[in-house]
Amino acid sequence: MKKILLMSVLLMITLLQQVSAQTRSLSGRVTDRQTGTGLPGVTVLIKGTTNGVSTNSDGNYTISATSGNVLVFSSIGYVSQEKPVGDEAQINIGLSPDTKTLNEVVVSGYGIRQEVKDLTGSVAQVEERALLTQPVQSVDQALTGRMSGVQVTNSGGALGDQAAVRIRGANSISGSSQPLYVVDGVPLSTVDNANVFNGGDGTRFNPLATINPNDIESVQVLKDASASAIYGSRAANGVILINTKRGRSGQSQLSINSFVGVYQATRKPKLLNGDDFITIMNEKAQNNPRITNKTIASNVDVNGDGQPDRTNWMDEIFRDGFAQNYQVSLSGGNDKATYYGSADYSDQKGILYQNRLRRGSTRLNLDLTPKKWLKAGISVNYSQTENQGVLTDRYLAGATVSGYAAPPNVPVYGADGFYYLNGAGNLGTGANTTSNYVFAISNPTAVLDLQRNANTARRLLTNGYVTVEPLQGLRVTSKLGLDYLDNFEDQYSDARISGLGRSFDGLVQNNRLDVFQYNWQNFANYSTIIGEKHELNATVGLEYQQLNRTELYTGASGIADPKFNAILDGLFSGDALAGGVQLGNGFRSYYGTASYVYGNKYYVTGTVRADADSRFGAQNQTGYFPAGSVGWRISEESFMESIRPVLSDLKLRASYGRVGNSNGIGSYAARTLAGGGQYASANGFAITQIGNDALQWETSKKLDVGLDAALVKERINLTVDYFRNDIDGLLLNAPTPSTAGIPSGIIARNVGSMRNQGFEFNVNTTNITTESGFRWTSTLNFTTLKNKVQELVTPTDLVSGNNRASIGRRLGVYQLVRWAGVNPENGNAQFLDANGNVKQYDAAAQRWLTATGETTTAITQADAVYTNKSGYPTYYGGFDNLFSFKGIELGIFLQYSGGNEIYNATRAGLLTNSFSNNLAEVKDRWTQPGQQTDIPKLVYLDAVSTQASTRWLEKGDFLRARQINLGYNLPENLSQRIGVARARIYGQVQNAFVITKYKVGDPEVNSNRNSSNIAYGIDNRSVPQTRAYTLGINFTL
Amino acid sequence: MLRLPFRRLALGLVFTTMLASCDVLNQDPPMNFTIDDTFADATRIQSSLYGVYDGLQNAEFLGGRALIYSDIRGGDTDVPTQYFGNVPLFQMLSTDAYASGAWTGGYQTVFAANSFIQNLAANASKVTPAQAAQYTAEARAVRALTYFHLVNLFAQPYSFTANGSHLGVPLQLTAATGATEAFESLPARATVNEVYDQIIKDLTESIPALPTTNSDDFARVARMTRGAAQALLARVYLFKGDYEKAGTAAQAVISSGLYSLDADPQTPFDTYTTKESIFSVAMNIQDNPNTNNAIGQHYGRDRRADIPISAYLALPTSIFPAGDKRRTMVELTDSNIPFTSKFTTVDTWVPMIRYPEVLLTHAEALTLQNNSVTPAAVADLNLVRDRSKAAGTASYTVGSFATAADLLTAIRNERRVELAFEGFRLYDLLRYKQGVPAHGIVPAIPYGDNRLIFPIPNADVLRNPNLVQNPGY
Repeated sequence: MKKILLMSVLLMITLLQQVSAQTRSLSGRVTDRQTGTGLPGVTVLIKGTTNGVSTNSDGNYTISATSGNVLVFSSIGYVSQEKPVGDEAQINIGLSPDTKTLNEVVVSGYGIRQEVKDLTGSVAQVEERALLTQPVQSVDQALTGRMSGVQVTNSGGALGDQAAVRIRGANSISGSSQPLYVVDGVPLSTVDNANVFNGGDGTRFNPLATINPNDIESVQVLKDASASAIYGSRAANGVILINTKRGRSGQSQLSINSFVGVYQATRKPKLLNGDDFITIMNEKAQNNPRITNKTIASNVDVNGDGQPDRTNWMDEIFRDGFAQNYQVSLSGGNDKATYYGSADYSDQKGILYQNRLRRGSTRLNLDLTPKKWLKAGISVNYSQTENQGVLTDRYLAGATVSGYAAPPNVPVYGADGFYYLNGAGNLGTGANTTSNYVFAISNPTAVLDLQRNANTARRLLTNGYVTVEPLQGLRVTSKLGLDYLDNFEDQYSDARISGLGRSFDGLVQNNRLDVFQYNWQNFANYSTIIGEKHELNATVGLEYQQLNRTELYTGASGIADPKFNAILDGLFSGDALAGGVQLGNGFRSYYGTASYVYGNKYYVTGTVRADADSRFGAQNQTGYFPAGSVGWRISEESFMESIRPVLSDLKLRASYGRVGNSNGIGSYAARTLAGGGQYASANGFAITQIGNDALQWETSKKLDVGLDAALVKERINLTVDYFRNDIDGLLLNAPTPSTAGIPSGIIARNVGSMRNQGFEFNVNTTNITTESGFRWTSTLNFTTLKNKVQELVTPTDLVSGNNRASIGRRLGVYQLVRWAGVNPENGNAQFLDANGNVKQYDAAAQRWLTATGETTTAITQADAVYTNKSGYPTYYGGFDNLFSFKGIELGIFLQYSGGNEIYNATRAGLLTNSFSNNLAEVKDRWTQPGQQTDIPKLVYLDAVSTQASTRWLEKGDFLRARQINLGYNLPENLSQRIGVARARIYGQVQNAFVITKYKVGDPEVNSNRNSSNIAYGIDNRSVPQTRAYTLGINFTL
Repeated sequence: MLRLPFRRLALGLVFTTMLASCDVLNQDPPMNFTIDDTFADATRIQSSLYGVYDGLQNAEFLGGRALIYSDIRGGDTDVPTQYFGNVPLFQMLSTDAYASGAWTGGYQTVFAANSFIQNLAANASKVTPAQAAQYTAEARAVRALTYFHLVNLFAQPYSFTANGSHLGVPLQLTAATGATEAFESLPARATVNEVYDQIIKDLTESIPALPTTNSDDFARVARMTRGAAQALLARVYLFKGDYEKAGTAAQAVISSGLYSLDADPQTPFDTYTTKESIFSVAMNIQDNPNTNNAIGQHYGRDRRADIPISAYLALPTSIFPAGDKRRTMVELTDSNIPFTSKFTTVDTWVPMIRYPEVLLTHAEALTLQNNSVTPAAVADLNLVRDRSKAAGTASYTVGSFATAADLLTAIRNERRVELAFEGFRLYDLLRYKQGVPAHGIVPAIPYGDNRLIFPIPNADVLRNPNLVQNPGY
């Protein structure tokens, strides 16, 4: 072996001199087989050697060759062709475009490219079709249901919200289980939400929305340790690689993509109308013996039209949204330079009244090859996004909080034409005579009209690289990525309505968030083929990354007039407010990977990475992350030859490795910090954080065993994986016992270990192809997932709301009091105590009774038991079908998920006994002895009967028609007549329907967003999901 | 020919940049000190002392809410379910967010005091012995005040059992310095008597080291003084039923001559540093418990306006005479819903101890101790009553009261009217061994009922196996 290696190095050195004594000159032209135009930049190589040339701008080439040589013509985007050299002086050839080529290569960063057929790790990908011109705000939302092992949960229809992405389950219980996003080889700065007002719970803005999904060529997800180990400490939650489009040599083209669409809210809660509301509220009062005034709700006629006032608040807060999206892109190039440039404008008006998101962005990706041994390029992407946000679920004035609770028997506007308000700036009370509203209900329309919760995000995302090839097969690259995000948050609170504005006589608050991250990578890649059969690839490198975050806050109170709702000189009289935040963290890494392939048959890969992160204790800053994989392409074995017509490709692969996670902890998490402890006018210092010297990486040991097969002339492509992730040292901002009094109540800590395991299936099939051109293909993906918490360092469970991390149980298991239905005799709510005995609550008398009516002790949290479900689905997937016939394409994409239970706090909150609108289902409440119902007798202000219990747990299973798309590709003669090379028009319905037993709202929900992995899958007044009808065009000139 | 050298040059350049290293792992937090930094010299130690008061401003506890919980459940405010949910309805569950906020907030204040005491002890040489003693005393007084509220909110009153032998709250007297210590601190609940003993110990030992007064107005009211600690000690003895000591401690404050009543009962709520205010938690526009927690937000007519006070104004004239000036300490909305004028803005200071309380404590202690009508007690009562009484109403004399019990009733009525919304009502009722009378939609809750005290937060009961839940939760 050693000798061969040495010889080949010598051989290469000789080749470099390009000595050519016995050869003759051969020329020719390479053209696009479809258009007939010359193709520049096509590599023409003599097979078995490294001797080759590129075509010039017209597609012409000249090469020295001898008879018997074989020329290989290859170019990205085209199917490669081989041509034996005979005696001719000219070889002309036409190449066919290959739309699949790009997706068959995985570019996992650091210059590492691998053909999909050679993968020994687990990688999933999404093709451009699923990304282009989708009615989404950010790319994460478009990934829903597309890939096995990748679960994407859209938390609702508020624009700019982040989707929760969980790759092979929740692999951390820290604040973030979000994967690492890498754009064109450069990791993005991790900012889940660029908005900071209201603790980030007011309006949210996902910085991923700054990237135009139409610029994306492919999205690839690295799922197992082998594939993702090159990202070491950041890979535990998986890695999402986003590659933007780049120019191709010889293909100058202009593309125009556009769509318009209408958005509608789906599965809105059905609430009581005015008449029913009055009946129900007064019945509540009637049933409470302590209420003397039994008529708490009555009609009012504020506008004096002689009719009682009625408002359907759902119609006030929801609307039909409208979206428009335009993108123009140019791409092309020659053998020296290729380019891709684009500009886009997108304007989406969401389903919530006043919610709007506009984005304009430009991109230029430029690659230069001035010398054969030198390549350099830059990518520049600037985007500006203006988001007109709407307060929703966690804010009393929020559209889905006040909007759902508002009494339907009062008007939107008062007699004076202004919003109907009471003295405290909340919704007017009409003739309703109680002061015991469920909470201070705002006038939802006034809040949406008068308040402003906007942000403008500007992001400059650039990278540049230089690659030098000093020796054939050795590439040395230096790459610098800069990610600059500036988010200007602008909030105005009007003095006329309750909230901040009233408290400050009109308040404007601005926050400028400035996040800058640089990432500098230096790496060397070496690849060689030794002999015919030994293929060797190796990469070594180092990487530095630093992130700095600055926030500057200012505010003005006592606004002169609502017109001047900005911070303007001389136009506010109250106090000015100011503040700011600064932090930074750094990251350094050394890494190497090597792979060896023997004869396209046997594969071995090894990777190791040493990462150091400033956030950990000095002793624990560095972590080592090794991984390895093996593969065996059985189909290449000679004994398989006989069945090759049926089984054309069969590969077994296995990988194992250790990757890490440091997401979700603060920049200085390991340290004890003292900081600002201001006491009114006196500056003070106080301890702000107790540190944890022992804090270290969370590590994930990942095993993957998989099989790839192609059957029946590649009409069936099958991928099956078994995976197991053993996560140790789970990071959590762990709550300390409150009596310790720790500032903010948490200390970052490694709290335990957990296992995720499951199976993934992915099947691509060509179901039908007929002579006439009809074709039906489908892709089915299916993932099963089992999770178990194996170890905790705490003596007891980790608690988050009603959910627990508990040893031996799945993460997020519910611990709840068991609901035992309604006593048909008296309408009392019944629960089970810890021993399974029924206890009923007599709300009118405020006492607990046994099943037989004896007075007893209360049901308490000591009676809560574990359920066997959590909010995490145990299976999920997607089923995509594409039917095509003579240019007509019909795509039907179904998405499904299940095996989980959702705590429906929306439903609980809309079935209270307070003064608040209820779900229409409350009409089934108990009213007479013997009645079988699940809604107890209504007793005004009784909160005990409606307490948290298994009553509010619901199955989260659903099947969604995620996309139905009908497209038509104009025949070439027709499109060329209008001067267009290719033209496609299409209509699409996104989220056409959902089949589910979930009672109120949509089961694809996660109200806690990314703030808790323990209390995952809770529904608490989440914004309904959007249904989008779009019409679009794709033109290529 | 030129190609190869140039190639090498380019390669050399790339390698050079590769070898240049960046020190990205050494990050100095721009907004933080280490603890050692904050105790580096006398100036910073003084700033660290302000950190203790910063802890006292806790938005969930003595920054405002702790006082509110006593009043909205005492029957003298309306029943503000709209913001405080099940708290005023006495139907809290152990998962209640207000209970959990108060518990956590109170212990965070205790942590601030404990950690300062510890760190000062380690750095005592950097200040004078007198300063060290004074600063420690201030922190201990803050801790005592916090425990007084914690034990009364989460445990039955002292008199519930003989010698307060029932469960109080855990006594946490040290601050964790690291993660392990914090997570492994799983204290059990001390008895109420043990908690009172600790409060008394902290106050008694602090008093000699505290300054009698302070040169600047802010420090005189917003920091702990000898008078504040003595006044608090008087309150604690009164609640414990040790009337002799309560009287002595109150007398010490009165005898100091440093305190007097403002002519108008509204004045101390507009001007925070008059001689009537003995100790308050200071706030300003930059530093306050925010618009959802500040006491002025909850009570202020023009703010959140959560807590109307019609129940207070509806007190019978036998308790709250017509024409009493305090009946005018009200702001009415357009629809005539009354709110108190004591707390009206987000940066309203939170009064902890006012001089009238000391006078009334003194009067009550004397009356209970002697079981007779003493001129001194009547004089104290008059001081408070006279500035507010209706024009033409005569001052009390010893002869106004046939029995000690009559005087006691008058003192307690005066206390109810004068100290309304300042965090006394429910705790006083329980001290009198009375339950909460039926009011609004709330039924009568008898003395001793489980619902009169907050639940221990369920999350903490789950986290700490040594923590016993209150009965009924």
